[in-house]
Amino acid sequence: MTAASGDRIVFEDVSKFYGEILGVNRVSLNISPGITSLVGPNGSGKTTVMNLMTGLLRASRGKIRVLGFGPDEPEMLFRLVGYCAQFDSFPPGMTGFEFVASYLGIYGYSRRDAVRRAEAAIDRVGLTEAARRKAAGYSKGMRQRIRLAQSIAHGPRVLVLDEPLNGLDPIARAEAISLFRSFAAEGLHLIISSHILHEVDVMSDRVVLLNNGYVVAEGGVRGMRDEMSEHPMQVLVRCDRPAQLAAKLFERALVVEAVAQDDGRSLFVRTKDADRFFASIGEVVLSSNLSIESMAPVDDDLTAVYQYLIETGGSVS
Amino acid sequence: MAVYEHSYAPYTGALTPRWSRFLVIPRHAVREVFRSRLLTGTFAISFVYPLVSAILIYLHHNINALSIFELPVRALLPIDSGFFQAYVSTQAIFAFLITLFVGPALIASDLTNNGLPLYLARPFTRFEYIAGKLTVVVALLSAVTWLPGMLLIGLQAYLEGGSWLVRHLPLVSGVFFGSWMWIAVLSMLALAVSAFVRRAIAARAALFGAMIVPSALAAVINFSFRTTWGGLVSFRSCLDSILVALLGSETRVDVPAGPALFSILLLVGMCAGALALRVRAYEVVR
Amino acid sequence: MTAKSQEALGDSSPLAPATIGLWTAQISSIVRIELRRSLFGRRAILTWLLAVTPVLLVLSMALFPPTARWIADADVRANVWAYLFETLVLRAVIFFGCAWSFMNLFRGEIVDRSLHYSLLAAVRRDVLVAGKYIAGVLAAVSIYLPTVLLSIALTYLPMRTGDAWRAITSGGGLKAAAGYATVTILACVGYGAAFMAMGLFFRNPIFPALLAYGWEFINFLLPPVLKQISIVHFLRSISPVRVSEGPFAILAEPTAWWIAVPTLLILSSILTVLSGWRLRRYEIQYGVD
Repeated sequence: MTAASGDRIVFEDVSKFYGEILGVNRVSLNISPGITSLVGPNGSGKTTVMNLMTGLLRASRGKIRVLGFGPDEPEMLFRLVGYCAQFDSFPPGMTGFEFVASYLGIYGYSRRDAVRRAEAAIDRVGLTEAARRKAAGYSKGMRQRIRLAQSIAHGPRVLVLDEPLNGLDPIARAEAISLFRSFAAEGLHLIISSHILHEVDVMSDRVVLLNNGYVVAEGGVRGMRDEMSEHPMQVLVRCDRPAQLAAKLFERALVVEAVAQDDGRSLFVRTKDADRFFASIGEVVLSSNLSIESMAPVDDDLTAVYQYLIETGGSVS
Repeated sequence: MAVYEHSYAPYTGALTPRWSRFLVIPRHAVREVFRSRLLTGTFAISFVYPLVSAILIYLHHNINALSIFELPVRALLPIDSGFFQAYVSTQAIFAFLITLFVGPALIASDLTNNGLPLYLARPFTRFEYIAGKLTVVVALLSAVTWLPGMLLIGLQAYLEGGSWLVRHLPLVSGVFFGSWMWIAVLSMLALAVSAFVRRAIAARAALFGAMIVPSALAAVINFSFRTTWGGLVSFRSCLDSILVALLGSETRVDVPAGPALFSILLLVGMCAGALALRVRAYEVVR
Repeated sequence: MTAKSQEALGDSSPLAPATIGLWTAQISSIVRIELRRSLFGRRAILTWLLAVTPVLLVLSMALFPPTARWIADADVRANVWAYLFETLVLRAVIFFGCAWSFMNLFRGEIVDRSLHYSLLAAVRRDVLVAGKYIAGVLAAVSIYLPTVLLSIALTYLPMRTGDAWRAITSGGGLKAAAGYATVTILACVGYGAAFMAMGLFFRNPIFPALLAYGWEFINFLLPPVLKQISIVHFLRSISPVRVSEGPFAILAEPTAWWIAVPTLLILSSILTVLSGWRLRRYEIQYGVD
């Protein structure tokens, strides 16, 4: 184990085929601590990547190391990794507490340690009151939370969460996101898959965008957006004289499109060179004696990146 | 906040007739079960014995073929009650194998996936649900038991002449009702087990046990108590007794047909009770 | 969330290094979980029902003796019990009971979609197999051994207390009981390993189990060499009383106990190792399974 790979999750040219069906193809990743979100449409390969990472699936080719350990070393790997998989099922007849505590026993914890850790994990997900009830009778949100408790109970350094916000009500979602952020602040790796783009946008340090089994893009959301030069960035500017501003921007070739909004105080512009646009607009405003109220990019979020790269089949230049 | 006009209206089109509504289950289920190559293979193999029987009946009546092959088939294998008893007993084994494939998953998978409320929340009663599920097994088992059996009898009657059929009417009723007794027991037992054991695999194991354990128990009771009434606990012995009585065969059986029929009716009744108990639209998890 | 809980999770109370000690702790934990399921879970109902069948049968024979010789002649009782043991206990109750519980060890969890929880624990997959197998054997033995011993004890019920005691202590009763107990334990060990392997290797293990039953059932018809490719042959070889297999049986010399016992144990070990190998390569694809 090298020092570099010791704190990273590394995929080297990993492919997984289910017979003739492609799971993921030639995935190379190098993930550092923090929250990394896997984003992509259904069937894009998010769960496959997570299952490969945790040894529930075996790679057809390529190499996977999680903090220096491979999926074939479960005894060491799963001391460091907790996986809250998407399977919404439980061993029959167990209460929430028994579910968490019994699997800790399999790790080798003493009965006392297992109980202490199970109680702590259940407390952390806010399910203490329902812990002694049969897990099969839980609501969907409670089931999600008890599975989360089970995955964090052994104090992992890597937490893999497949659609962890599914089934949670808005308040529970906010609490869960805050919990994830606190884990990240403690130096954990969090690998999260989600469909809810604005929530991913809020909580992620970086995003891996998957489509049809391929990694389409990887990195910070803003960074990704900046690299998509063939997709003009859209900016909404509120000012006192939109028509005059548009003329000046065209004059200097800072925008490729400008649309005055119906309210008469806003201008919607599209620019191919966002850096130059933002660097020059101050000078334009000063020279024309315009007054600008606000200026905000409207498509530098994950939704826009997702639309460009996946829904329109685009790619990063 | 937008307030939308409530424009929902229930379906007002034509419904399928009440009496045939249960057929929606076998329509989809039969297609599903034949996706298994193992079942398709077993189903195909189960026609080998009827085919061989048909060839034997043909040879039995074809003097030329018999003389060419110098086969004393007429003397060796008379087409009588013994011939059809062997047919029903052999096909019953295949019927059991097919039931083992198909039956246990029928209700168990709905229980596991919480599918029962979906069925029963529609204009579809518990009785129709069970009838639909039964039809799946009954249709498959009929295809390998009494249907080919009737064809064999038809072939024999055609080759032997119409009077043979009149003289051997008990044979017709024996093959028909004997097969149906097997079908009734196997299908009810499979569904009852399937309704109690949520996992198809475990339900299969239970059905397998239901076949072997009572037979062993019957053998031990007979041996230990120096009796033949132990056969009453084995549905296989009971069905053999009923078949022999229906066909008018001379074969020695463990128990008389009357008590055997009572034992079978008791078993079927227990299965029906179990189904009534388990097939409900709700389940309480404690 | 309390500060205490955060502390409890954050403290990485270290697990023991991967040694025999850790594996033992892990196996005992797996055994605890599985024993509870196998002895007291819903799936145990059928096993208990099966186990109680021979006891009830022998009890009814004790209360309503089938013949006068049943009361008077110890040899008659021994022969009837030997037949009952082989036909009902060994070939039906233990065979089917082991099929039921051992195939469920893994296949049941696959069907329940809960196997991944075990595979995501910090435990070697072969240790998991060993733990589950040991649990299965312990559960089967703790159900069927009392069944056998209680049934044997009940065969002495028609005798007077003094006579029964003498028959047990000096009449070879204890030795016979020990023999039946050994066969019972070895049957659980052998059939258990076979059915656990079937549960891991086959999506539909009931069909190989059906074939195995057929093979064991026709064992009396097989030539001597083929007889030895079966568990029941070795179990019959070490049974205290050999039961007649009927007029059509092809006779074969029983295998000596010092060959039969190690053979069964080695066979079970091989099957368990094979199960471990299969689980190491196992991928969670519940939709396919």
